Amino acid sequence: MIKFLNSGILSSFQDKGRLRKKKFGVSKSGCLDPFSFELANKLLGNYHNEPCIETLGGVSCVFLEESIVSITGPLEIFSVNDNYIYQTNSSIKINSGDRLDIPLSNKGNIFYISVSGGFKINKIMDSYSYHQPSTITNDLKISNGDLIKLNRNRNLGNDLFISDNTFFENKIFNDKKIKIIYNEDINIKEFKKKFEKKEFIISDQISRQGIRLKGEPIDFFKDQNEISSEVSAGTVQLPPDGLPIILLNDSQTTGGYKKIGSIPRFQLSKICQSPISSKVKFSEISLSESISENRKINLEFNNIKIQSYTNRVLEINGRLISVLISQNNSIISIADNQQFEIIEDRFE
Amino acid sequence: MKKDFTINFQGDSTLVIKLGENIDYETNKIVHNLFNNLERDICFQDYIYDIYPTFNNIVIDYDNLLTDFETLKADITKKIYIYLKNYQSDVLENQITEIPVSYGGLNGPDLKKMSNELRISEEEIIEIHSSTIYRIFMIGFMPGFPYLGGLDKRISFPRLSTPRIAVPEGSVGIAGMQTGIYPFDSPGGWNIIGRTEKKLFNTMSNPPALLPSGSNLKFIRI
Repeated sequence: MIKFLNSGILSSFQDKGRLRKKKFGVSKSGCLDPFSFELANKLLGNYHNEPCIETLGGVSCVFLEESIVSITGPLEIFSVNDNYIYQTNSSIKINSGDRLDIPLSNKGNIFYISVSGGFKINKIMDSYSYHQPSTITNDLKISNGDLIKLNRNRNLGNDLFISDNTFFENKIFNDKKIKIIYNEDINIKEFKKKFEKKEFIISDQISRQGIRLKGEPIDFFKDQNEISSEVSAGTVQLPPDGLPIILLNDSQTTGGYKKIGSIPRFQLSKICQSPISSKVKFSEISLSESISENRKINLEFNNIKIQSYTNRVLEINGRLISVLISQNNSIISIADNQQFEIIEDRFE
Repeated sequence: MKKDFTINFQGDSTLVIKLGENIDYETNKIVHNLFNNLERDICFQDYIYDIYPTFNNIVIDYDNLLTDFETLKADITKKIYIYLKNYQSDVLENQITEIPVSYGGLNGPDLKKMSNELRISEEEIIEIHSSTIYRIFMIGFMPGFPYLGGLDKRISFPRLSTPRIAVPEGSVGIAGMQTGIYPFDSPGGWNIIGRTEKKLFNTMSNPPALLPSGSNLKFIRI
């Protein structure tokens, strides 16, 4: 069992989402960053769609039994009992009574926590995903003081794994360009030119439902009188105020604002991990380019290098230093509780 | 049955079958008829994430690692021609779900104001509202929320200028030319004229939404 001393910000269970329920007005929900979600399970050898805890950080929890745990998301360090320092995108061994703390990040937004064998929770309408705007899945939200059970059939072998971060750095955290696939009725050169010139900023109005952008409004479509129609994660709306909204997994199933296009699927993780105040500039991508890019990126993700490691903690001048050492005895990284430095990033 | 349609993409994972431009009964009936056929035939394919009807479209969310827009479009086009050729009206079209409503008083705090401003007695507003058969054009906005068509012009009324912070579950409201029911406690700007005890959405029921999209609804005064 895990006890949440502090549930952190917007922490909930998520899997890959609730399928085939839009006709009842229920959106897909599901993990906002599918790559980090999937890595969390991969590091533990779990089923690929095993529900994880999704959080914006600020979590503090105590394990009442031993477990192997993985933390993925923004490239940060986190601690166990204040003295064992680890980096994200790795699995760690937790003993009964250990306290795990996950920080807030300014490099990204969303972390995933998974445990070997998974959490013991109940499905709601065929999914473990919390849906933020309604009350129908409140049991899948994590609050202060919650006790969460773990499944029994877990693998407590001694091997711990860490992933190479090149993929995440290049495709999610450092890539600045946001692509848009315009809707077919927005094939208007003048608009595209105007829109792609603007630089927008991610405002603090972000939730699982969507991201509001701020900046200089774009004045193009007057007299909006749209019939409510289909929207999904990635849909870009342009309301009468001229500031785009990017809808996310928990958006309504239908919306009434002007739609101009969609963020390609391979960039949904990226847009969700973009911190508040980061700049957004759109550029066009065609449907076929977007699909081939998605296939390429998924292949790259499936080939991410994962290696086993051990963690040594040294006390130097009263300071705790954590050294991650790979199987062939090379040093992967060195960290104290402030920062870490990657020494070995050649994953051969 | 003859009906023109177009198939467009929306992003790289959604296909939209457009059967009309406006909100009208005839188009929405065909939308649901074709939707029911299409859902039956393709919904358990592993590349289908979702399939659902809107006012004038049928929408398919798909996994673009397993199929692509052009392949799906060709397949769907063929299927729709077959459905249109063998078109038969749907039983759902005539189905009516009755919703018992307690009008006015504490359950309908805006009824009196509407009566004063419209110069129609509360009695008459209730009579008009509960004698119409409304079409459920689609379910959307929030889980189980019906978009109803058919509100009588005489009792159309503009939305509140300041929305309420909390409208109780089951509240029956009017906003412009629309009438509807709140499936959950939520903030809202509709004029509330009554309340029903019927639960519109229950995650433990199958289907979870009480009202089937494409059927009809009648309010019964209690």
